[in-house]
Amino acid sequence: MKAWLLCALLPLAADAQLVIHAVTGNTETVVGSTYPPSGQMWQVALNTTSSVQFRIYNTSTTPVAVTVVLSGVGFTFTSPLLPYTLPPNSTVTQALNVTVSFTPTMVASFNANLQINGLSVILLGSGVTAPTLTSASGCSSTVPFNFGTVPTGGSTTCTFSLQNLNPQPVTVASVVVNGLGFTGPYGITAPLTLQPQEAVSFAVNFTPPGALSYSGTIAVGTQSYAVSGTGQTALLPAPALQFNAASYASGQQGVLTMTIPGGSPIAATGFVNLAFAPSTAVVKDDSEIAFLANGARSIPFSVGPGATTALLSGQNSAAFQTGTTEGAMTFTITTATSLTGTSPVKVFTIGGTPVIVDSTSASKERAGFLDIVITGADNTYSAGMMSFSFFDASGNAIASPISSDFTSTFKSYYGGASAGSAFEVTVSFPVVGSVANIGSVKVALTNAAGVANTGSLTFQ
Amino acid sequence: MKILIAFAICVSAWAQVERPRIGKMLDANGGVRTVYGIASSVTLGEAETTGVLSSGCSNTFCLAKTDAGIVSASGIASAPAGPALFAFDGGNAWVWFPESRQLAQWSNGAQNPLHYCRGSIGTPPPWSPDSDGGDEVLSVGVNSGSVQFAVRRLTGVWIVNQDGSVAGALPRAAGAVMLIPGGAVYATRTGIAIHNLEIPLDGVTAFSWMSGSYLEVRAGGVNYALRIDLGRETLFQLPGGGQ
Repeated sequence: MKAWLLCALLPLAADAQLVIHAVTGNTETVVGSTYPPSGQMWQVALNTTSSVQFRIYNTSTTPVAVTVVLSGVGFTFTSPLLPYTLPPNSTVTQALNVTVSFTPTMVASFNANLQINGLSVILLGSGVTAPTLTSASGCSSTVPFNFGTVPTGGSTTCTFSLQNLNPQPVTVASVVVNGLGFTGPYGITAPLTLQPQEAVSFAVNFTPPGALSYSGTIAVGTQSYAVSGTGQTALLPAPALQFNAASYASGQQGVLTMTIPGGSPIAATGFVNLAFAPSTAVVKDDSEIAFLANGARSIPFSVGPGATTALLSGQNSAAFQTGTTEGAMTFTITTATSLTGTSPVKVFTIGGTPVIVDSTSASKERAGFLDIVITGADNTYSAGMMSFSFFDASGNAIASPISSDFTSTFKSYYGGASAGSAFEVTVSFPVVGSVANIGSVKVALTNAAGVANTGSLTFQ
Repeated sequence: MKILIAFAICVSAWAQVERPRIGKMLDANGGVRTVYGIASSVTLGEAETTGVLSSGCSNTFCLAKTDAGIVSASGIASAPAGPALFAFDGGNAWVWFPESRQLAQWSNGAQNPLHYCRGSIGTPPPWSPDSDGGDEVLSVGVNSGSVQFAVRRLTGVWIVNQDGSVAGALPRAAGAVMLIPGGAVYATRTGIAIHNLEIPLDGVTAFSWMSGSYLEVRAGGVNYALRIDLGRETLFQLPGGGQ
């Protein structure tokens, strides 16, 4: 009531008592009959909002009650409660601030009349195009922006450029990515203001959850741009099986590693398999030939996205045994994941070798016998022929070498075996008389691949 | 000619062939299994004893420590709780129980095979790992019929005789230790030291006897076999899982 009364009592000030300034940052310019000044337009991107602050001063020596009226499509204003009383010779802090906003909804010219008491300012505006969104890399250059075909579980990124081609700053209220499989934006935070010709970049990811076609949108302010992409059943680059040796023989342990050339774009699992085909008809298999991690012929592998090396039973490598049977070891992989290229196959041929002598001993402790124990393996399964050369304590040969054929004994031992050719043979020679002077023996073992010698075995 | 007169070797020898075994291992599940084959080419038998905390084998017999006692071919003898360290000496063995810090002698095949050493391990001067609270017994061994200990003290790792005298020293940084005839096998930072050799292997945590010629080595969750025969030292991986 008091305020109304005060306003009523105030004399209506002459128009010349009020001065209108446009405020830009810390700069104020006097506004004439039009804003912007004659020959210019207040250009604003479609469906975006631009605002201008007007500051009204009272230059008279008496208070002035100010009213504001704005008429014109697309324009709005905010101000303190009106009418607003400006004190005489008002200062910056006492001046009336009025913010006028312009939001064009079409590409066209707009105008409005800003009436401040008796002063009239014609606002001249125009709707201009929104900032331009273009793809820089990673997807098609035309709308809809196509991210292409991506393996399920994989991901691809498209980089976009958002540029203001208008001659005045443009405020972008929001940038939102919509659609299953599409995420972002990354590298941009809205709202933001783009200066004339300024461009900003941001990224959008496409991670198809399944082997389907996907579509979505990138909403820049009120502008919407379509995006699309296709999920494809994941493909694993054909793994490479690598070994710590170019070839292997029986009685060895090897080490396998599995690499993914170029890295895996996806996660994948499967098995590395080891098959064995004996080249002898005596046995059908050799269970010694196995991966040591689990004692089996197959071990699980896993590959993570981006990995260049597979984990084999959780380790970076896997050891395996070559067993004690001649034949072919074949390494393969199995996986439910489709491969690009041919699934690897590596074959190692284990050739036949003379008897592998692992340990030996000779004893004359048992009364009336010379016992010779040889532990070894015959990967040809053809051993049996042996020759024994005895020597006295001085190293002199005792008579001629004694040949013995234990082929039938070995055949009986190997019959139906599948756990390799390892054997421990105890050869016993009955002896008559004192054995005190018997010093040592050398044994030659013959199989299909040649002769193996034990070296000199001293009788204990 | 004199030799031929002194004796005669019959030319008709006979042979017996059987599946070789390099010893017995303690698998990750506490099962003792026979390891068949030759070096670097082995298969495992079924678990013969389960629930085993520690095991050890000589060439002639095996002992397995369970919570309940010591399992041997002749039965189960009650024993202190926890694991055990074994040293073999012919038909006997020395057993150290780390948790109770007790030493006992095992007479294989005897009706009451386990005999505890009271008070002290040795005869005068009395000494036992207990007499020095800082001693950690890493291994027990037998040298010329007498028990020895590998102990870790603040001053280093020492080989101590039954009478408490020091028989030798190992590098201060030695990890797991196993006393073997004529010396010791121990873990270094990067491998296993044996007979003036160092065999590369990271993370060795324990040794146990598989047989007179092989030690089981545990490293990084994997079991290995170490052949300790002089001049034939070999390390190879043992199969895991339930082969």
